[in-house]
This record gives sequence, structure tokens and C-alpha cells, in this order.
Amino acid sequence: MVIEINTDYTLIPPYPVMILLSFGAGITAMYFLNRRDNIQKNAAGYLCLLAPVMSIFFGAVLTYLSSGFQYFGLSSLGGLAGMYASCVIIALINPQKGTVRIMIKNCTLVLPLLYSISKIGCLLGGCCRGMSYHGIFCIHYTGSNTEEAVVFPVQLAETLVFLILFLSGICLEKKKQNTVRIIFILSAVSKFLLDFLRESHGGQILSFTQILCLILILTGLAIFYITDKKNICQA
Amino acid sequence: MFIYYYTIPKCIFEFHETQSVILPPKGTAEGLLQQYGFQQNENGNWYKIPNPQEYEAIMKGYPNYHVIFSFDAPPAYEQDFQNPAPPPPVQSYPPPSYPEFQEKPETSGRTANILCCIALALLALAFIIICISTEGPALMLSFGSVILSCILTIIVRLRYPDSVFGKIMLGILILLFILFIIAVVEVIIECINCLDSCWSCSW
Repeated sequence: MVIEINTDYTLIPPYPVMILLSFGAGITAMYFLNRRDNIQKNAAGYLCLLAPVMSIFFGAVLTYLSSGFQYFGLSSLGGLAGMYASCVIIALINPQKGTVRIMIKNCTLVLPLLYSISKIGCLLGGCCRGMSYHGIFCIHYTGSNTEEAVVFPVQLAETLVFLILFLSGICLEKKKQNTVRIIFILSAVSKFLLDFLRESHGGQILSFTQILCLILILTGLAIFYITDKKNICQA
Repeated sequence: MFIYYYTIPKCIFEFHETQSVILPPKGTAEGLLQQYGFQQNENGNWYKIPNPQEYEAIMKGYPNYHVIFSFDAPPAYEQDFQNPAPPPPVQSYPPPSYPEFQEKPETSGRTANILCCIALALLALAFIIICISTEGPALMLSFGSVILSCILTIIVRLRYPDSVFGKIMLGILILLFILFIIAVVEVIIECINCLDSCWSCSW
């Protein structure tokens, strides 16, 4: 089965639309999660204002730096850093104390949803595509916006994997103790592994994205270890 | 005797040397206490110095009645059936003086205005940078200035919610955001129109 995608879109280009939709869905979900956890309405609202702005800024800066000051793009890991930075800033400003942990936890839960929806934009736009592949569910790209190619549906795989992670996080958050930390580590591991299937990975041992993912995995494990040790001491 | 201070129930009224204070129950949310003008001392304990009207209302009910403050009615009284403390010699505890309390709103207003001025200056700086150059570093600086301006405005709105300048700054930022979205949509529509005209020429 071959998925045909023509990137000569006649109406609105799909990539910016999906980026806007991903922010809309993610920020809305984060707002409701914060309100559910008794974050003040105005703080939750201002976070919704600041988070997408900082996410886009950090995403653009990371791409600019990693491309050797050549061009701007939107990096997902830069966007992640921007989202977390906005949570920390709002939590520090907010007179209601003890909110930084809650905001970062809810941000971690919605990030897989944001990424999942944005990857649909990449799928339709033809960017971040997979390596050459002619098997089942391969994607045949045509159109003047991208050169003709038959590739692995890595964007589709990322959409599905991160959607499952998001739904699992939401369902299991209240039932299992370490859900959020596990989701964080699993997200980083998934992105690390799926990067091997990308066309841009060809010829490298580890890409820049994978190095950043390794740093995130190690950070997640360190946080896991430290908080577990703290819980044992307190018990 | 308890004081039901608006939405904070079971506050305690105490005398400390020359001042009388309202103490909230343990575990009350700090955001709520700050909203009602409570302050923290060097030990981290929260307290509020009642204003003259509140002090008068409390003294009317002291020590036999709980005093209930609400927004839409004058203070109410409910009998306290537990043994009250003996009434203090009121003349030894003059009503508290409020020079500190009166100065505080002016100081906080000045801080909010300064922060808003800096936020406005950063917005202006962002525009100036874009006018001078649209190269990569200039774009980053400009975007960074806008973000800093947003952060300062949010600080003012969260910490000094009564600041009018803060509300104006937030309005300006929201307007700029809407204009930016409109500009992006306009560019997309122009691109589509260009494509359409190219297609029609080819036919």
C-alpha cells in the first residue's frame, strides 16, 4: 500500500495550519490541566500566552544555531525548551507558591500531543521525511515543493507513537505514581530511535537531535533517581 | 472568638505590644492571603493589621462574638459559646497607625509603572531593530525583546493586578499578536492569489 502525497497544495499550506492547530490543542489541554490542579486562572491564562511565543522563539533559535547561522526553522527540541522555560517563568512570577512542579508536570503531559499533531504538518508538507523505502505504507511524494521520492512514513509513526504516549499519560497520571517521569523518558527514547529512520540521519552515527535526546534521557533518569532517593529519605 | 475574614475562615485576633493583628489559620493559600493584604514577618508568619473600620467592628464583637466580614453586607456577629478571654484595657491599645500601610500602594504603583515603561521601551526597541535590519541576529534580538516585554507585562499583571498601565500594556501586546496573525494570513492569501493568477495565465 502506497500513500500518495502531492505537495502542490492548492488551498492553504498544511504545515503552518497544523503548527497552529498543535499549539491550539496543546495549550488548551495544558490550561485545563492547570485549572484542574488549582492553578490560578490568570496564571494559567498568561502561561497560554507566553508558552507558544517562547516555544517558537527557542525553536527558531536552535535551528539557526544548529544550521550554522544559515536559516531559521522550527526545532521540536527548541520548542520543548521554550515550553518548559515559560512554565518556570510563570511559576516564579506567580504569587501562588508551589506551582512550578505542577506546571512542568502538565507541560510534560501535553508535549507529546503538540508534537504528534505538528508531525501531520510535516507529513503533508514533505519535510522531516523518512529514508528511502518501498515497503508497505511507504509515502510517494510528488509536486514542485519537494523532489519526488518514495520514503518511510516516519512522520506518521511519530504521530501515532506520541499520540499513544499522550493518551497514556493522561489516563495513567492519577493512577500510577511515576507516570509523568516515565512519559518524559519514553518520549525522548522514542524520538531518539525514530530519528534513525529519517532521511536527514543518513551517514551519521548520531545526529544532533539524537545527542540532545540522549541529554534529555539522562536528565530524566537523574531526576527519577533523585526524587526516588528523596522519597525514601522522607519515608 | 474567631474572625471570618471574607473568604478566610477562623482567623484569630491578637494583640502584640502596640498593634493588633489578624492571624490566618495555618494552611491558608498564600495567594489568597496576599490578595487580602496579609503580610509576612521575618519568621514567615502571616498577619494583617486591621484598618480602623475593621478594628472598630472587631472591638464591637470582642470577646464574646465571632465577627464575620463579607463584601455585600456590614460585619455580622455570631455568639461564641466557648469561654472568651477577659476584655483587654482598650485604652492601653490605641488603634494602630498606618503610615506603612498607606505608603505601600504608592510604592507598588510606582514599581508597576517602572516595569511597564521598561516593557514599552523593549517593544519600541524591537520595532527599531526590525526597521534597521532583518538579518538573523537582528530578528532574534527583536523577537527576544518582544518576549521580555511580554514577561514584564505578565509580572505586572500577576503581582500588581490593579495597575492600569499593566492592563494597557497587556492590551497592546494582545493587539500586536492579533495584527501579527492577520499579517501572516494576508501573506498566505496573497501567495494563493499569485498562484491562482499564474494558473489562469497558463490557460
